[in-house]
Amino acid sequence: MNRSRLPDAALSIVSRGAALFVCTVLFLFVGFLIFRGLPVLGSSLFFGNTAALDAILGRRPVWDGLWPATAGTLYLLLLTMLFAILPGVGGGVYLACYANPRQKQWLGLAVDLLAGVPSIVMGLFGFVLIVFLRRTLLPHGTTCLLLASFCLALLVLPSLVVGTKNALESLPERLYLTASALGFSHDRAVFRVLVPAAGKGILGGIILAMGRAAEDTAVIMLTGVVANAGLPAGLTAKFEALPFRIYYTAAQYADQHELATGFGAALVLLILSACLLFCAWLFQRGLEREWRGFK
Amino acid sequence: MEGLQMKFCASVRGLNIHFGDRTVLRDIDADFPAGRVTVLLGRSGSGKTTLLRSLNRLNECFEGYRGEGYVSVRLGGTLHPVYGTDALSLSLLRRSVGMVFQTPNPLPLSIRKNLTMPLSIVAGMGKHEAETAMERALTEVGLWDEVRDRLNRPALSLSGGQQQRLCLARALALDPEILLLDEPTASLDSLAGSRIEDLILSFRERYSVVMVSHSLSQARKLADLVMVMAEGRIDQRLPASEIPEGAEAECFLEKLL
Repeated sequence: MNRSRLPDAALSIVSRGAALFVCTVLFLFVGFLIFRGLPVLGSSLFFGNTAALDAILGRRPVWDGLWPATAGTLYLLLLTMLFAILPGVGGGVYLACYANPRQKQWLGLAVDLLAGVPSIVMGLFGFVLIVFLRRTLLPHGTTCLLLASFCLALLVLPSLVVGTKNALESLPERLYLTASALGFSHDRAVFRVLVPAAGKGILGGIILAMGRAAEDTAVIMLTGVVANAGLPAGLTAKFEALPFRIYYTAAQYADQHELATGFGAALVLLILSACLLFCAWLFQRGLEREWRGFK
Repeated sequence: MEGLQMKFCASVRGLNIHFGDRTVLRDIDADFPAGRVTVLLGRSGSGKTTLLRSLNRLNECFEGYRGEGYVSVRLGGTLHPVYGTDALSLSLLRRSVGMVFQTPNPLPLSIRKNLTMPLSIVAGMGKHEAETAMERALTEVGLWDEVRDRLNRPALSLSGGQQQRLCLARALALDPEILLLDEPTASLDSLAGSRIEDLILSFRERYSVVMVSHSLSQARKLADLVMVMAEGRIDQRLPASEIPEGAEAECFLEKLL
């Protein structure tokens, strides 16, 4: 082989190896979770001794199952994304399509700083916020689902802003030029052409944000999650969540059955995240097909 | 040439355009005849495309743009300033002064939506009206029979020549009075290019065309008036009939540029 081509060939082998490594790690990780979690996956894992329908409808409490934590995680994720998507995607659109270079610099720095905040600090912020509110506007306020999802939204905001900004900035310049030449105003070119065209990249940011929100324990530990609360009674109530359940079980399991339940909870969290991501993908695909007009 | 000087579709006076520290157009004065084809000839970097884009304010989309001077376009028989406080709205200007680029640039949409989306968003047409305008424009560029059964397929699945005709149809559907063509055949093979040239010839009665070209033979075939540009200035204006054919053309081009 020509000596000048040797570094390229080596880099090619390294990149193939890296791809193989990622796939192997993912396969081992998911395989391990399935191996340990699948045997306990069943109705009793979710509902314990309570009848499934009674538990789902909230007619009877579940004392020994994952259902309240699963429902709590689902509410938490949906509320978090409700809080985060508009400012996150909007911030990314502003940075990519409206901000001048100076604003880009300052806002970019702000987003980077927010991205660098450890989740435990974000949890502390939520805790301090509710203490402050108790002393001022909300004397009966307490840590709850609403506070936890608000703090989680702050935590995942940078992923959404950066994902959206990068997706828009990676579009070919001629797309904007074409829309402008056809008479689209700047706003219309941005929202009728560029944002829909960047849909896949924006979805990538949303997936990252959802993944981060689904796994985080530090924030919710200080802002409302508890080990036993049943189904969330409302936005201002305490709640259970799968990541906290996994953390709690890993730290305090008493026997092998309880440990197996922990692995079951981890598998359920993985499946729940995958289902939500699949729904997000289906929704984005539907929007994209509608925008592109393909039939 | 006498007739050409009488009525013009666009006029430029004292136009200077800079991008950052670089001056691209220097003190341009030009009148573009109405209902005729004007071809801008010149070497790469001579300012042809920038002059073309000054007629629909597309230069403003590029970073570092600064411009001085006066540009007006004739729309509906009246001259309207392109820049300044009493200028036409940007949307109306760009609808009325259609543009086709060097490389075919269909939006990443279906063939149908490439035409109907600008019609509904920019021209405010309803669905039925937009469909009618789409069919008329596609027929005008000879594409209707080729695509009528696959209007919902991606526009990017068309051949290069078909894509360029689609872009032309998209500009025509918005009912422009002036067409700006930036080397519309440069990225096409000779057959597809020749088809576009024939279309341009068929448009000369209905639209005023200002076109950038690198080809002397194309200029001779299409132009009523040729403007030769060099270093941001218009060096010469001459009728296409003064451009020689065959072997002499090369020497003539060398001398011009």
